[in-house]
Amino acid sequence: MTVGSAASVTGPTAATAAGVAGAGGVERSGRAGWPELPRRRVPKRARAPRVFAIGQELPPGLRWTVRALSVLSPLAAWFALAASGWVDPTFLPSPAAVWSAGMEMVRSGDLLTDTAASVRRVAFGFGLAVAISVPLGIAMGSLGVGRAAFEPVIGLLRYLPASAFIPLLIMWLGLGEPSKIALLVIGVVFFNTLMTADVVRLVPRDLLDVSSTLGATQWELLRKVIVPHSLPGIIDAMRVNAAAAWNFVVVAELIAATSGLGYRIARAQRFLQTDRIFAVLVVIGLIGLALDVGLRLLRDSVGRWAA
Amino acid sequence: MGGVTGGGLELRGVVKDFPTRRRSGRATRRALDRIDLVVAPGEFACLVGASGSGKSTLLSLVAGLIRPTAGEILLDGAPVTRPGPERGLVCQTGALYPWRTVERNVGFGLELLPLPRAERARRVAWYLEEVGLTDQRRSLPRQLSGGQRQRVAIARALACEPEVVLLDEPFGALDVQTKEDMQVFLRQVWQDTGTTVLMVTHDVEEAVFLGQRVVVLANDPGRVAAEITVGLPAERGLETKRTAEFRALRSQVEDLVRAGQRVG
Amino acid sequence: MPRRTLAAVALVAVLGIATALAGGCSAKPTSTAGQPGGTIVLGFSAWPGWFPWQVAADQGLFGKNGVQVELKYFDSYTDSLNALATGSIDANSQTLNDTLASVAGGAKESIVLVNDNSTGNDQIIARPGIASVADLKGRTVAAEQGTVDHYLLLLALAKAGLSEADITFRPLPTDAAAAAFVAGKVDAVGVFAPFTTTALGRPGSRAVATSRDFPGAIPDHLVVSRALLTDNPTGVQALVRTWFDTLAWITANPAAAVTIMARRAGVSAADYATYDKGTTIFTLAQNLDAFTPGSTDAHLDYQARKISDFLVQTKLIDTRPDLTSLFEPRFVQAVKP
Repeated sequence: MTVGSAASVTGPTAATAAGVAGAGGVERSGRAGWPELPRRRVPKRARAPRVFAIGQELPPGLRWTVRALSVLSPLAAWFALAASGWVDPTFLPSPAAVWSAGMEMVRSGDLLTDTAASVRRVAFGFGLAVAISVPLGIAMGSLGVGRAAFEPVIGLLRYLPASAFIPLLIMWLGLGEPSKIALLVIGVVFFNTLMTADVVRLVPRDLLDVSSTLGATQWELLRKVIVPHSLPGIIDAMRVNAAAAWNFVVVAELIAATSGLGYRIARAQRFLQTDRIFAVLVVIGLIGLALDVGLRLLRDSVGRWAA
Repeated sequence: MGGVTGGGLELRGVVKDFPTRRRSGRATRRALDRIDLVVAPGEFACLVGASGSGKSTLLSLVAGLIRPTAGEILLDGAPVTRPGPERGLVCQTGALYPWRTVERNVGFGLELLPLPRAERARRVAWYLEEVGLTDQRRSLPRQLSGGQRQRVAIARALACEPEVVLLDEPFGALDVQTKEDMQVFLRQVWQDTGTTVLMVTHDVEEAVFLGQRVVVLANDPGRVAAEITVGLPAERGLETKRTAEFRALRSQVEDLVRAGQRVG
Repeated sequence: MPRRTLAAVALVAVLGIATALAGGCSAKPTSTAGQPGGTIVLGFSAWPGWFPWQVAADQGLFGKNGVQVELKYFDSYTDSLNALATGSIDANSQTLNDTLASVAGGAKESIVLVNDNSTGNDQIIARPGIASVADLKGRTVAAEQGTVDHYLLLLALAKAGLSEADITFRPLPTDAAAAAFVAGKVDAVGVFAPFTTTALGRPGSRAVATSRDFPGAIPDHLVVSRALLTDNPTGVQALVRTWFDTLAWITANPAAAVTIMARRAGVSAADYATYDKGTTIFTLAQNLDAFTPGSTDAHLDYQARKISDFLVQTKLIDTRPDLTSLFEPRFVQAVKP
């Protein structure tokens, strides 16, 4: 406890209850007379379940167990449900039925041709979308005029549902592959452009300034600074939109398709072949997964420097 | 080495206004008001001032990244209009290319020139040696400490043989020991290369230690309040900071900075 | 908010949600078709032989026969086929060949009535420059995959000595197929009325084959799920009776009937009148004849076997359908003439 100097009061047990002069000279009342601060009761259980602690990573063993369970449990439930006989096999075919339907499609060669057809469409459609959206996104992200010119239009077009374009695409491009590929492009290109532009905009100002002082021209800034810096982010955007494109291929195959995984599902539906539908869905899921893992690996190898 | 290779810098009546977003009152804010400044070839000059005095703006103007509202900036008599390698820049964040190794960072400016690969490699190796990072030449920036990164940034600017090197608070983010090591290192490099140096810092002690001349900027609007010649010997080590002359100079500059700090 | 009030509001909210859920569960989530007096969901799509159902609904003729019917119109014929096959509706309007395909896939359905035979309103329409079916070789033809006009196309090709391999087939829903043909995207199209009117809008186009060339090949039916048959035969009987009552009403009020049906079809009354010859509505007598077993085109069981063979041979289906208890003649037999 100090006496006299008001400026060095140090605790709620200050002697003066009359008031303390603050820095600005305004009178503030002291903390004497305040009721005791309520304290929370610390829960008795010292060992709270570590599994549910916020922000804590699980120990590796536990983590892999939970991951394995998250995949195996639905699978086990499926087996059990199908075996129990509670559900009509038309509505939920057993895993065994799905497997044999899948094998039958492999043997007849249908699965290969359908997969090839769908993959080819997505490859062309997504490839074209990337070829358009990445340069456009880079232009939009680095140039003020690029952003001002394209952002309003793209911001609007992005909200138009691609499937609404189907009748127009048939009229403009016919019933063959071009209209299906165009549908895929429409579904993906606007989002990819905007996401690419966002990534490009994040190149630090300092980096661009220093590069200018080192003598880089506009074109060299783009080639040697903006593109390498943005590449991991661009691949990430591609990863997200590749998944969307792959999902879209089923919609694209509504336009007079005679082969493809989406087409196969529509055919199977007519004959109540739900085991086939499930088998095709599994194939679609596995290919989507492979696509994602592939792009993730690409991003990691390209973006090793990005922490 | 030690001959003067740097160019002379001259600022005449430089004014810089920025548009403000305030709806009422002025449409522009005056960041720098009629700055007249001369830096002799090969001189090490430091700019100090309280925050808001426009030090970084002045450096950006000299670098050519922004244009003055009025007045001229001359390097060896030629007006400065755009950024270029004759005015190298080192900023506080270092701004290294994270995807390039140390030696490819240092070589960035040289890659842009029509230089044979072997020649470029020779120069890069020399500057890496100069900043003491030859062993780290294949490392990535994220593997380096803060001080090492700034050394790479300095080497990168120097490799282009600039007439003047501009440094914007380059050691602001470093801890005290590293900072002092970097100060000694920077003086050594300056003496070895003979480049003109204009450095902005808010650390008065650093400015007095490094500079031959300290320019004090007052704020709001930014203007030259005073110029102090640092009458300390050319050979300076960390022990110099403990001498009476050093402390006197430091106090003098600190008072000037504080005087220039007054609002309005 | 004081803690007590907050607790009270939360309690009320929880109770409210629980009550709603409970109420929702106790209300019948699925169709009431199974009970006598329950609502039967009857599906139909665009075809002159089925538009009379709209007249029946508008004139309250279902009610007069003591049955509650929810009439469900489908823009996509295939969607209606899938709906009956999966049990989302209780009864549907389908052709014989499409019913056989559904049954081949495992659907449990029975045919209780012949609405009509297609006698010209299913057509293969081609652009100018294609004079006959033989000229379709190497051309593109659009039709709805696996259904009645795909089947008609294959019949016509077979008759001309060709097969599907000789053309480029473009599967499209019937309305889209007609639109694509008019837009010049395909050389020929297989459509049924009223889309024949759309397709013929392409200048110079004409039908190179119609269902008139294949009498008895395309009967149209009221098809019900086996579940409905077992649970509510009274309702099914009422449906069949309503049909004949509707036919009588249409005969007595031709202009009014055409107005209703043309509106449902989306064409003018004048255009609708042109469909008259192409769809031959079956009388009760014709129904009775059709349902008796026999070995000519006039008998449904013969047609069913013939069509099944054709569907398997042209790979429209994989396995032959089980024809036992496919046809249920008792409902038409119980109708008093």
